[in-house]
Formats: sequence, structure tokens, C-alpha cells
Amino acid sequence: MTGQRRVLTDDLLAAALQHRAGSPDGYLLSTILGTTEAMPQRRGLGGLVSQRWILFGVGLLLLVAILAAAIVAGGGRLPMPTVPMARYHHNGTILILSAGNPVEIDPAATAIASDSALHLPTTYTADIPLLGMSWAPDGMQLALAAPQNVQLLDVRDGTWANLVACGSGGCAVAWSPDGSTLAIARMGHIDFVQLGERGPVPVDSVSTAGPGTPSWYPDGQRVRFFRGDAAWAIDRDGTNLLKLPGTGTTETAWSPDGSTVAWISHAPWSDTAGTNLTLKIGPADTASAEVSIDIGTCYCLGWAPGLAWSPDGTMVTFSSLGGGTLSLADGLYVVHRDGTGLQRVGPSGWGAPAWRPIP
Amino acid sequence: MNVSESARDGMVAAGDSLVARAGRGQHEAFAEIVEARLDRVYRTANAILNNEADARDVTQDVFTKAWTHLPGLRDADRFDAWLMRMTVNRCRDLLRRRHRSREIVLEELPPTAQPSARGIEISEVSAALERLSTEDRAILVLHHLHGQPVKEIAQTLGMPAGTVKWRLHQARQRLAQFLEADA
Repeated sequence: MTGQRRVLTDDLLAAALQHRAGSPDGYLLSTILGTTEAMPQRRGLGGLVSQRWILFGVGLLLLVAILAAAIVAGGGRLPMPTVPMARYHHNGTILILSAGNPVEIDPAATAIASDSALHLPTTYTADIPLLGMSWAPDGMQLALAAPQNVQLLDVRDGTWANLVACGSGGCAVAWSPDGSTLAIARMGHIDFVQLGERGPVPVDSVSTAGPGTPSWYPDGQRVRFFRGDAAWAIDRDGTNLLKLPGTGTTETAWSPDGSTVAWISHAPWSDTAGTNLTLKIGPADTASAEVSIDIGTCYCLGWAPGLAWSPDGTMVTFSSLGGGTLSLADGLYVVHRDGTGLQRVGPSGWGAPAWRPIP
Repeated sequence: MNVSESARDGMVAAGDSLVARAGRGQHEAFAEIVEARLDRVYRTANAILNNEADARDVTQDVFTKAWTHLPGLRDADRFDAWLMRMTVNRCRDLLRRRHRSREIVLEELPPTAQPSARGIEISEVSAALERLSTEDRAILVLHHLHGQPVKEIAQTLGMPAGTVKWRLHQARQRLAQFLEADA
């Protein structure tokens, strides 16, 4: 190594890849053609579904059946005997994702509670990320959006339950203000899942294409979400799907009293540079920004790293991926609702930060 | 981004009937397909694996599978995405197996000449690429070597476009971090 700071440009990356790629020699072509010419093609069912895949499918079905039996026997919940009860020492902490796993942050003390005893059902990695979280209004349950499933963690006893599958595109979740319903963006739909004593019941499914993170209106009757380059809203009963005016806005969060709204605005997308993100805060009735903070650049379209209000409605927390006119370092920030007191409080989290309501 | 390689789009359109004919068992048609795509498959594999012998094996295996399974391909328009997905999957399988077994390097040849400053830069980026996951490397190869737009990569890898953008961003960020750490 040279000891010099190396800046990764598109040119340099392309040159390195070109160098690695090389080119095939002439023998390879003749080898392939010689091999395949003497080889029969697969036709019929045998050509479409190999024996290996049939065996895999049978094994998978058996596994699903065993898991289903375990869930039924456990009253809808998978037991986790080795997990101790979750405990919290800090009221009003922010939960963020760092390297795919949750880290608890006390913004008042600017300290990271790395010994958080929050035990999650799965070990998340960069390849299997946890995409987002949402606290129940009472602060006792946490909905986790993982690529495979939406999972529900009860912090009182450390038990968890799988709610719904997410498909390959992952999920995003938002808890309704009254705590009765989860809005889940998954597989091109917004699903509303009621959480009653008998466990989760999907109440409706609205077909949309690629919805982003949902956010509830303060009255708990509607959900706003992002699709393509526009914001949409839909009633919790699945009716009144409506395209909202304006473009370039993804994450939106209303203050707990509903008077103020914070949102992340996107500059136009560039395939090489990504997009620039701006945090905006303004009155909910006019949606005109009184606070505007350039929070950096991102290779993201239709979503942003997320934001959340503090339970008392005085502050907003957001993730910055670095850069911007303020030259923010990659990390988690808090700012007062009037735009003052911008402060970095922790490492970056790709998923939306979730500010835990005071139980 | 290598824009010149996106000239392949014309090739895909011209290759549609070839794919159908090859699917009906005409080996001459398949030979034309292999000739047109050999370079792309090999370069993708080698850029991901950084090993010529492995890249040759993967290329041969991918085209062999393509020939035997072509009658089962329902949509000829998806042939190129199918071929590229097989290439990436085969590279992933090979690297997984390699992690389980230890390779013994028999001999390391001494460098023949002093590398240029640009050569050093390229070697450093190449070394940093080795530290990325196969998926991240594959996305960078498709985007920055072949100039594939995000939407096309999403089709190739069977991921939503948003996920591809996210992973592209993450891969670049990690690569930059590795470079900085190595410096």
C-alpha cells in the first residue's frame, strides 16, 4: 500500500474492473461449442424442473409444515427459551440500526448504550439487513421489518412473532397512532394488519407498485406512502387511494400533536451521483418548509434513510449518509423542530430510526 | 461507466430469433449466441472471481447449462438476463465452495516491471473489491463494467430497483472505506 489517501472515482473503479475482467482466449469458444454439440437438450417437465429442485421443494414443504405446527402449538408465537427479558434503562431513547443490528442511543447524554439488552429473533448482517423499525405507541412492542418477515417483539417478555412474509423486496412498517394497526409496505402492496388478542389479522390489501415507507396521518385514519416519484395516500380501510400533488418527497413524519410535519425531499436522480437529500420541517396545515437542512447524498430512489420525532415533539432525528452543504459526517443526528441544535448523536443507521415512546 | 458496452442492446434484439431456434435444438443458432456473448459472460465471471481458470470454468458451465435448459426458457426476451443471472449465481456457488476448501498456491511469479502509479491504484481497488460480498461485486460489475442501468440489473438479479440502488450505494461506500482503511 502506498499510504496515500485513495479517492474512489467512477473512472478508477471501471478501470479496476476492466483490468480484472480480461478477455477469453480462442480455445474457450471451441471447447464450449464442442461440448454442447454432443449434448442433448432437456425437454418436457424434466427440462424445466430438475430432480434436485423437486427434492428441495419437498424438503421446504416439510420444514414449513413443522414450523406451522410449532406456531400453532405456541398460540401463534415462536418461543425463544434462551432469550432473557428485555430491559431498558433510558426513557425516550432512539433505536437505530448500525451494521444491521439495533443500537440504543440516549440523545440527551449523546451516549450509545451498546449494552442494550434488546434481543432480536435473528442475527442481521449486511447481506440480510433489518430494513426498519416502528415502536408501538406504548413503547412496549417493536415491529421489525426484515427482508423475510415482519416480526413483532414484545419487550416485556422477550417473545417475538412472525406477522407476514415480505418477499424479495423487503418490508417497511408503521404503527398507527392508536396502536391497533400496523401498515406494512410489502410485495407491491400496503397491508393493514390489526393486532388483536387473537393475533394479527390482515384486514385489507391494496395493490400498489413498489410503495415506500408508510406514515400515518395524525388522526390515524389514513396512511401516506411513496410510489415511483410521487406521494400517495390511502384510507386504513383500503379505500380512497389518492395521488398527492408534488414530487421528490419520501419519508414523512408528523409530530405527535399533529401540528408539524417533517419530511425528506429528494433532488432529481442522477445515475452516477445519486440524489441529494434535504430535511424539511414545517406546519402540517400548509406543508411549507420553515426549516431546510441539506443532509447529504444517497444512492436511493423512492426511499430515504428515515426520520422520527421525539415522543415529546420537540426534536427530530434523522440519518445522514454524509456530505451535503453542511458537510455532515455519516451518522445519526438530532435537531430541534425550529432547526437549531443540530447534533450528531451516533453512528449511521440505514434503516429508519425509531424513537421509543416513554413507557 | 463503460457506455460503449451498452451497444449490446442492439445485439439482444437481433438475437431473439436465434434464441428461439437454439431452443428448438439448432446448434448453429446456439453457436452464434455463444460467439456474441462469450466475451461478456467471461469478463463478468473474471471481474467477480479475479481468477482466469475459475472464470473459464464458470463460462463453460453457464453456456452448457444454457444449451441444455434453453427449451424450458419461456420468454426469449429474457435470455440475456437469464444468462447473466446464471453467471452471477455460478460465481457465488464457486466462491462458497472455495471458502470451504483451502487453496494452495504453488508458485508466485515475481513482477516483471515496476508498476505505474495508475497500476498501483488499480491494484489497490482490485484488492479492495476482493473484500466485498459476491453480490456487491456483481452489482458493481454489471453497473460499472457493463454499464447496465439499475432497472436492467434489477431484472438480471431478480431484485427490486430500489434494492439495487441501495446495494450499489452500499457497495461503493464499503469499497471506499476499504480503500481508506488500506491506505
